[in-house]
Amino acid sequence: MENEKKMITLKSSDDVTFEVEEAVVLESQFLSHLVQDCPAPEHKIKEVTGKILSKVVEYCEKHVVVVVDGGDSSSSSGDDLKKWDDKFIKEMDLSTVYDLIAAANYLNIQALLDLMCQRVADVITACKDHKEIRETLGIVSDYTAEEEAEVLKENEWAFD
Amino acid sequence: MEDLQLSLLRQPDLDHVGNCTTTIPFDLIIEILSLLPTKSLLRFQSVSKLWFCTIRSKSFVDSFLTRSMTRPRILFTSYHKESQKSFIFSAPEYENNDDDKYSSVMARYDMTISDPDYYMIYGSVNGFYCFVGVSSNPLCNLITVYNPTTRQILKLPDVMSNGRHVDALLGYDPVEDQYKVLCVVMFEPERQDNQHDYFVCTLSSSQKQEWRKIDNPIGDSYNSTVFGHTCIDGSLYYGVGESRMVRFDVRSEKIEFIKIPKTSHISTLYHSALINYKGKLGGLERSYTENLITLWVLEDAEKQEWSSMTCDLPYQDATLASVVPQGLIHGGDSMVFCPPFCVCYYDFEKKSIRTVEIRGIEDGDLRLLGFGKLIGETLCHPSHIENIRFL
Repeated sequence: MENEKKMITLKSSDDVTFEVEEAVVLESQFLSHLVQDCPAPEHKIKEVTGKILSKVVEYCEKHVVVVVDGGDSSSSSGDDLKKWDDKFIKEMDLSTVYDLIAAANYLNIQALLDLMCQRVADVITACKDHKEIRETLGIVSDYTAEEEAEVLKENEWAFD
Repeated sequence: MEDLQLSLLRQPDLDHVGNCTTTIPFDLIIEILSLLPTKSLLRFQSVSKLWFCTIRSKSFVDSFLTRSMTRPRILFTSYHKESQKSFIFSAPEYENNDDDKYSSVMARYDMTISDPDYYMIYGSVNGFYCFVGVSSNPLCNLITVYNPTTRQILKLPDVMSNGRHVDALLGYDPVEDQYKVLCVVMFEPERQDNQHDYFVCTLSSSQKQEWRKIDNPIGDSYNSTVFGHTCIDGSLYYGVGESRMVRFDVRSEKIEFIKIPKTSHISTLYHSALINYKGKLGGLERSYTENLITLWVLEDAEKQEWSSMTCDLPYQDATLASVVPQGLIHGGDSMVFCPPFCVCYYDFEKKSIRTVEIRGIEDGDLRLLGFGKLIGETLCHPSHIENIRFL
C-alpha cells in the first residue's frame, strides 16, 4: 500500500502559498530544520517573495530524490537534470538571479546557490571590461582616474 | 604599482560594500569571483578598490591556489635563439580517465620573456619560476622570478659573482608563508680550493629586496654545479655530485648534506630529475645503456634511507629515446616525458604510454618569428600550479 505523502505548506512574504511534499522541503537545510523543530502544517517565509519562492519550489521539485515503491530511489538522470538547469537559468533575468541567490543563501540550498553563482560568474566572464561589469552589477567605482590607470596598466595584457 | 597596491591593501574599506547596488551579499560575490577564469579575475581588479582588495586578499589567493592544485598544468618554455626570447606556454595535464593512446591538447600562450639575458629556469615552486641570466657585465649575474599566471616580473638585485659560476633556486616556506631565492656562487667546479658563497633573498612586496650572505656552517664544499632542484614542504633539495645532495631549510636557512646510495646517479647526472614523490624526496634516473628508469625515494630523511624501484619502459619508443622523465603526476601513478611538441605519460600500473600532442605553441608572438625553424630547446615542467599571488 502506498504511503500517504506528507504535505507541507510554504507561505511567501506576500502570502502566496505553495503546497509541497516534505521531500521537496528537505532540499533546503534551513527548511528541514524548521519542519523538524516545529511540526506545523504551514510555514511562513518572510524573507522570500511569492515570485522567487515559486522558482525555488520549481527547482527543488525537479531535484528531489524520489523514493518509489520497492526501495529503489531514482531522480532525473544527470544529463536531463543538467539540461533542465540550463533552461531554468537561461529563462531568468539577472535581477531574478540575484533574488534567487539571496533566497538560496537564506534557505541554504547549496546546489541552487552554486547554479546561480555560476550563472553570475558566466555573465561576469562575458563582460569585456571593468566598465561593463560595473554597469551589469551596478557597482560604483571608487578609484581615482590615476589609480584606475595604474591598475589597468599593470594588467593590460589581460584585456587582449 | 607597489605603492598603490600597498595603500589599497592597507585600507580595505568595507564601507564600499554599500556601493554595490546589487542584492547579492558580498561574501557571495567572493564565491562568484572564485568561479572566474584566471584571466578574467586579473582583468576585473580594475572594477573597484573592493574587488582589487578581495582578489589580492590572502584568503582569496590561498583558496585560489588550493583549487589550482586540483587542476595542474604542464608549463613549456621555448627559447628562441634568433630573437633571444623565451616563450612560456601551458596546457592542462592529462587526466586519468582519458583512455586514448594518442590525443592532443591546446596550449595557452602565457608570457614572453623578452630580456635577452634570461634563458634558463633554475627552480620553481607554487607557480613561480626563477631564471638566471648572464649579464653583459661579466662581474654580475641577473636573477629574476616570474609568475606566468599574473605575468609579474620580479627582478632581484644583481649578484656580484666576479666571474664565478652562479646557481639560484627558488624555495617556499609554508610556515612563514615566504618565498626565498637561494643563490650559490662558486668557481668553476674543477677548481680544488672551491670556496662557495651562499646568498638568500626573501621575496616580499613590503620589504626591500636584498641579498643576505649566509654562513656555510658545514664548512664543506663540493666540486660540482647544482643538479636538479625540488622544494618539498619547506626544504629545497639539489644534487651536487659525489653521491651527495644538499638540503636547504627555507625557514631556518640552514644547509646540510644528504647521502645518496652509491649506485644512484640522481645528484650527478643531467639525465635525472629530482621530484616530489608523495611528499618525499625522489629522483628519476634514466639509464643510457638500457631502456630503464629508476625511481629513488628518500624513505627516512633522518636515517637517510632510500628505496628504489626500476621500471622497464614497455618498448623502444623512438620519441622517448634518451628523453629524461620530468616528473610524476597523479599522486605518483604516472611519469611524464616531454619530447618536442608532445607529452608522454607512462602509467606505472598499466605499464603503458599515452602520447598527447601539444598544439597551439606556434601561436602568439612566436608565430611572427617563424616557429619551427629557429626554435631552440623546449623544456617542460609538470605540475605547474596557477597562482595569483603578487610578490
